Amino acid sequence: MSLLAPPFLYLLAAVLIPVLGSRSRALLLLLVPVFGLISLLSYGYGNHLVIPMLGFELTFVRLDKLSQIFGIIFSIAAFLAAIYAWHVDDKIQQMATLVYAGSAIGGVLAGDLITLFLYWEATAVASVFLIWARRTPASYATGMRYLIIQVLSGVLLLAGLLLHYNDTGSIAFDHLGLVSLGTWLIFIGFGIKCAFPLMHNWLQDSYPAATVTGTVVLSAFTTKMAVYALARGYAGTEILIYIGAIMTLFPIFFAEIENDLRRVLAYSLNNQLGFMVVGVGVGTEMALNGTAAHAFCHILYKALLFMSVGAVLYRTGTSKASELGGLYKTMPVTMVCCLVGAASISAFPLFSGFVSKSLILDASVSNGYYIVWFALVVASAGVLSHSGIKIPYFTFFAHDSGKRPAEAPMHMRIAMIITAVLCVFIGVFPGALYALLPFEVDYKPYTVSHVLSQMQLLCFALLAFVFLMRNGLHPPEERGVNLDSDWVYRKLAPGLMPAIVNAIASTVTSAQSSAKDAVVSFTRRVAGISRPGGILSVNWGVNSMVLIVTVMMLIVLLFNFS
Amino acid sequence: MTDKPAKPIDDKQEYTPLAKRFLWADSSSAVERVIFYLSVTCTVLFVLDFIIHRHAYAPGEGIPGFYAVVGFVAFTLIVLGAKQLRRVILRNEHYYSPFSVDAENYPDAGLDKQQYQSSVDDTHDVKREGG
Amino acid sequence: MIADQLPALQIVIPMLAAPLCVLVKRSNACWAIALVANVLVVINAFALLHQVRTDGVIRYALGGWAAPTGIEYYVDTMNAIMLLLVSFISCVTLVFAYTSVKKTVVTGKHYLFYAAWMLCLTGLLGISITGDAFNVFVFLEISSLATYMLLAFGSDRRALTASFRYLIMGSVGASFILIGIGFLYAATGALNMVDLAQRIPDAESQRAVLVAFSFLTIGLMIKAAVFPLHGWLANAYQHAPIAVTAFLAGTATKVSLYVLLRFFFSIFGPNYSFGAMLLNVVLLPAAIVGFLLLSLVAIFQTDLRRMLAYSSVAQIGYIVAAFCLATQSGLTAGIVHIINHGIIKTALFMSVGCIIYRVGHAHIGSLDNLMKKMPLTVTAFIISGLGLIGVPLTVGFISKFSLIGASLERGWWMVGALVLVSSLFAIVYVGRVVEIMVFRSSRTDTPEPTGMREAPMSMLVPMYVLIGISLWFGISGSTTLSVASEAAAALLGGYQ
Repeated sequence: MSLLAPPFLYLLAAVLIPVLGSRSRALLLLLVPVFGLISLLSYGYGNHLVIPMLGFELTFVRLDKLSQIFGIIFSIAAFLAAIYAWHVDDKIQQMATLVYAGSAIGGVLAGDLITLFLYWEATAVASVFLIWARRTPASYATGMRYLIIQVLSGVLLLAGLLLHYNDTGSIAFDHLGLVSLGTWLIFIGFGIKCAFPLMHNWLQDSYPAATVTGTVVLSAFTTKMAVYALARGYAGTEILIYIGAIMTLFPIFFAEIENDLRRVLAYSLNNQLGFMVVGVGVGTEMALNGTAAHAFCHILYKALLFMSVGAVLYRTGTSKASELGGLYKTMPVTMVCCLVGAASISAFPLFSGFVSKSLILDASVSNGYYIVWFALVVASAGVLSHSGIKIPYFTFFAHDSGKRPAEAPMHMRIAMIITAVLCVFIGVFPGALYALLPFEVDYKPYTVSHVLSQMQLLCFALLAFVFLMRNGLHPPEERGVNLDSDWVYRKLAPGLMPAIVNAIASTVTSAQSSAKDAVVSFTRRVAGISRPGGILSVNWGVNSMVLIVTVMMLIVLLFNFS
Repeated sequence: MTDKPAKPIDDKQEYTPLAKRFLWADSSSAVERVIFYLSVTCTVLFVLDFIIHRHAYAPGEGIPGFYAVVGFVAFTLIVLGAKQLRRVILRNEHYYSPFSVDAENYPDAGLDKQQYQSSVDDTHDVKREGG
Repeated sequence: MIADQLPALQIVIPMLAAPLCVLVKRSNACWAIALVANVLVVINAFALLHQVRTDGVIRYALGGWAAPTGIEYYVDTMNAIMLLLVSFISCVTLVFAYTSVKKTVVTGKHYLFYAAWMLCLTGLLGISITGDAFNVFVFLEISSLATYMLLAFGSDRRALTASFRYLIMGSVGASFILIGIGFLYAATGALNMVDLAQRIPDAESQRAVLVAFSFLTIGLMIKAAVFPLHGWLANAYQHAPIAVTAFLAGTATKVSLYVLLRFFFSIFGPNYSFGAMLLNVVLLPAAIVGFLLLSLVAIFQTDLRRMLAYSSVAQIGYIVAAFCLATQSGLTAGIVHIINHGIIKTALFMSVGCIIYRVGHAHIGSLDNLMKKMPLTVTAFIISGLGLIGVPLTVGFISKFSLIGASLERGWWMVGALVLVSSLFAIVYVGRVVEIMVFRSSRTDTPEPTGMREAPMSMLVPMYVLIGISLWFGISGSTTLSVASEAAAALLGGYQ
């Protein structure tokens, strides 16, 4: 039974991948999330699978309403991604997907910090293979940057949890709060994975570099696991409100001018995370409900958008807005699904974003965070601009690129249609989602004033779009790279490096040569002029090694006799 | 791009029924009509604000037209602001190469590039292209 | 009763196997003799560990001559672990060696190779078991001489220079140790470790003890390849026959680390070593700079063996840093890492051995797309590579976790932080190789070498045995941790 617990089930299936045939692997990928979900739902609330390891009692399944909703949506996301990736015949990607999804589910079910850390690192290591699987030099470099940052997050979590354990003697993963160095380190570790401002650029850097299907998988898990972790450990931490508000705003500008549509979606993902982080920061029952609901809806519509852009990439070989346009003629199903995703993320009434985002907005305003609330309203208009309009408009309409790609393959269409139906279903029947939320919900999204205000916001924003396009004020899609804060480590630091290295190298070389001279003269003086020109002089290696021994001996004696 | 189709044949009868429903997007008069409907909708929504009393929680939220103004102004400022931002941060596509994917094509091995059947000459009987 | 003679058998069996090999001379028969002897030694070591853990310390007077006059074997949990580790790794690599030796070592010299192997094993086991300081030196020389010989068996001509360099450095180290022991004898009149431990407190103030301490420090640092005295290691590991590298990487430096522990904790005592003598001032910076710098160096290597060799020095840095904490948990972390690193590094070198066996070289840049051709070997490399990084559920994580925990407990959080930094370097040097092997497709212009297929079973099976063990230890860390913590307690408790 314990082997069938959701995280273990995925890992077990991953082990089977190498020995299975092509189609049975794709089928396995499809079945595991189903059985994982059944297994998850079969557990009662409480702690299960408490296993002694490393001298601690590790809780591998801690089920309550908060972890349950994340477990459910992760299973659904894994299932949808498996349909979408039905054509993939790459054992590495399939294995990575299973380990990654399984670890993410394991992470949200973890009942203590050590178990969380175990899965935290596993998601990092497994997911990088989805980037490397693109198999180009650039994806290798990107993957390496991604991996280092992800593992750094894990390292901070580990350091923090050890400090926290030293302070409190507990490894329980409950509310932590920013009370000590340890909890701060954990917070930053979470923050990196949650793409806090200035820690965000791994997201925009890596997601466009993954494979067509890999990005769909990536978009669901890492960041939402971090949101869950924040909700569990830092609910009600006020600083999160402001971090979240900034997160909703700044990516909008970058998304607006980005050409690679998968990177636009990555920025947009960052912006959506901001809403969830605000919810965690506010920390009331309603706000946490909003965070969980928004994460649920977000995973679906963001996957849908990545799927549709991925399908375009799959058929045309590019996901750059400047190269696309007019695709609606031959990819109408993809286009309609993309529009559903766009409407959902823009929070049009009757679509899923509407019923979840408003929980967070209402929670922030009813707790008196007016400025933050206003920022979120502005950000909502921004979401419409890049995800609601830019993605579908420049891909499927706008100027005709002359491309006439075939419609997405059947399995991709099925995956997109199911996801789109789910988005609409949640939008029309929010009660089903609300029943899953961590706390009792007493909220009606479809009130006259709420629908009216949202429609006004969106329609006038659309009007502004028309106005800007007509007057030629909208920035055209241009090929290019937009700088972000990762410029510091991608350009500035490497740029300075040669100078620094040269400076060090020249110092070292001069020191080395003078040291060498000193050695020679030293040995000459000691051994006399009649030193045999034997082996020692031939082999500089031994010579220097013995010198080091001598120096070390001197140091040791110096300390011992002082 | 390297693999532009030889010559798109826009025989509207060839498209799927779903695609045909969107063909208006290519007609400027139809687009004008859509914009007209949008303007009407906006006007109606704006007027409704004076008729229906919205619940207001934040200061100022209750002012009629609040959301309309915020939607329009925020959108415009974001786009214009982003445009200015681009002047500062836009670089050549090869700026980070070879260490970023911006300048490289997605490897064909992971794709299944296919042309829409009717877009290729009938004499040129190739279903899969590019791959 | 045979159970009473276990300590002697531990040494006598491999020692007899060596001349037997020389007498028999037939390659396969020699291998079989060595293997049988080795299996017996493993069983023996296992029995010893069990005996020590149930009945406590074993003191065995060799030949019935009591301690001050005769040589005494002293077995507590600490050396029982070392005995088991050394004999087990030797056993597994010996199985592995069978095929690779046939390919690399000149036919007709095989019996010498296996004889040298048995002598080396005798030496390493002897160092671990003996309770007599001078006897440590004797066994050290036995193992070193055998090692020089093993190294020189490498088919590469540079193996000779590498072996020679090692010989010089090894001799310098051994002489330092001998001088140290000599001074100790002069100061205390004792060679038996237990006696030494009793008499040193009275002689502490003597100059001779100080000098002895200093010489021993340096000598042992050379032997254990602690930065910056590691210069001999990379060349030796690179050019030796790969089975020998795998064997030595898991055992030789680890045994030296054990001697270091024995001298500084059991004989001198932690208070003296780390209190009066400021050993930390020398050892800790060396260890830290070592693991940071050499992890960095490993990133830039082009030869897989050299990369792993530098990574070994870095890992030794972790172990020494753990010792420097001089606390129960610090020692536990160090000892656990001795075990864990011994296992994973041997497995890694074995996978490199498989690669060399099929590809003919270990040049990292040319190993592209190896996953397609040798999936089992590459998988083994990835799993043990993850262990090297310290990814959760691998042994490396247990080590890293306990080391960082111990350094925080001591209040040296900087050490813990630097360990984390260095594990980031490890990600790069392992990740880089993995990416090449798994994702980079073969360059089309180079012709496919013929016979590119999976390594033979005789190499894969021992490798996967080690990987299985490492995974087991990684998932249930309590097995190794509890044994290591007993050993740490034994070391800190001094001699009874």
